[in-house]
Amino acid sequence: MIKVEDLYVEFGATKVLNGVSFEIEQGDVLAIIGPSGTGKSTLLRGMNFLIPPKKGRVTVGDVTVDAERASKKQIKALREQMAMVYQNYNLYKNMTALQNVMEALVTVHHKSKKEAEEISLGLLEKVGMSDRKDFYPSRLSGGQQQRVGIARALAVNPKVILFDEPTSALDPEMVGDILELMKQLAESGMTMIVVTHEMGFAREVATKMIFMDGGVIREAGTPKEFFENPKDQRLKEFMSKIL
Amino acid sequence: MVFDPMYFLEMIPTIAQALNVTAFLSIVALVFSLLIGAVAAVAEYYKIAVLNPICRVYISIFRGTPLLPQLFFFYFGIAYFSDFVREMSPVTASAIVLSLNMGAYMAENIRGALLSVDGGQIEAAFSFGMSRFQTMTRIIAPQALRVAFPSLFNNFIDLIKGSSISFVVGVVDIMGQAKLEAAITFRFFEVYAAVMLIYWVIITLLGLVQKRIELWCNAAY
Ligand SMILES: Nc1ncnc2c1ncn2[C@@H]1O[C@H](COP(=O)(O)OP(=O)(O)OP(=O)(O)O)[C@@H](O)[C@H]1O
Ligand SMILES: [Mg+2]
Repeated sequence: MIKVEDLYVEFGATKVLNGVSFEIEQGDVLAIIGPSGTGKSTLLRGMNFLIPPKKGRVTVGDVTVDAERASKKQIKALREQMAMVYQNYNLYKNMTALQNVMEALVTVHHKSKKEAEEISLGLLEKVGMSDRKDFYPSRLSGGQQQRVGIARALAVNPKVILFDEPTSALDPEMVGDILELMKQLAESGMTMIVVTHEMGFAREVATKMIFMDGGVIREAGTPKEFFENPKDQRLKEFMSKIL
Repeated sequence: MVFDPMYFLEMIPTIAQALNVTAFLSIVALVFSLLIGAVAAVAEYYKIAVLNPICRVYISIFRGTPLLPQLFFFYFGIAYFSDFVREMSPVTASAIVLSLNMGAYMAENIRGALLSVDGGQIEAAFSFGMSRFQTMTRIIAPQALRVAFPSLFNNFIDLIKGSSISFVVGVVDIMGQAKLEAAITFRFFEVYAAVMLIYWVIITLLGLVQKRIELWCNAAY
């Protein structure tokens, strides 16, 4: 259902992704791990063409975009299928929590204000932020902002949500809450791709794992294989350092 | 010749009669310079092909030369080739040159404000499929406005002052009116003191308004 084929991303002379391919099915939770600077964020941002890849193809549902012949329209169609949750939340600072969640529904998915508001209020309820719906991001804690960020991602009813280290900027006591929320999402059948350093979460929630290093996938497998029997030498070193 | 207070007091309302022309010039030029400045700033922010290089050249020329030669070049220089400019009223010509001049300064101020808006939220907007136009109007511009406001207000005050230069092409604004009075009575001291007083009062009042609005701007989101 979600397929990345032979993705190459370069920043000028720096080759960051050197042919990344993987495939996941609906309901999968893919955990992407790897050392800093190996292109994990770049992979997520290449998947929705925030960084246009040099080469490769991305398929989400029935939308396939080839990097070498990507039109604006195709990219928009692709982006409408996905949502992203960021390490720094990236909420729109000039909008309240509720307005943040409603925004793409109104501007991209052409829902009426009323309908968008209903959907958004429901989701804020779901992430436990109803009582803060009229707060601007500057008045919310990191954990609260991330809840709004997750509600905002859910609002557009995406085929997949891309998480880029969603708990890395949080105070330790908030990390567990957000991971718990993500676990609930996974259990409700949401397809998720999660870049994370939270090995406990990966082990418990992920259905598939990828280890990236140097812009390529060094190993792909199940959490069981990763934690009990890693094959790649670099992965072994990485796991022993992080666990 | 001694200072004549009665004549001075008499001059204030006489000169103030032309305030409508000063106001017209300043406000029309404000609207157009804001428009020009916004377009040029967005063109550079999004690196829009063709438009951006054109705007860069425009900004460089208008910031790199004084207002007075710009006005002369337009009103007398271009008029040489263009019937349209030749038949233009001095007020229209001044409004055009003032707009172009201040537009270049505003473009730089607006551009700085756009760049000050944190990029993560812009990436988030794009990732949801929002267009560059939607992202600009709904997320970037509202935040940038508060940042740009103080410097844009200063630009507006510069515009009011700058509009006084239009008397050289025959506009009877308050400066032009003062010039006419002085040419009759030769009481330069009273006349020009009166016109300065009028400018000073207007700009001081606007300064008070500016403080108020800045408070709102700082009370950001
Ligand atoms: N906009 C950019 N311009 C140039 N180089 C970039 C840019 N963004 C990322 N890079 C480079 O690409 C490489 C991969 O970066 P990326 O952010 O994808 O790593 P990462 O795996 O997400 O790391 P981390 O775990 O620290 O978040 C890094 O070497 C980085 O310096
Ligand atoms: Mg990263």
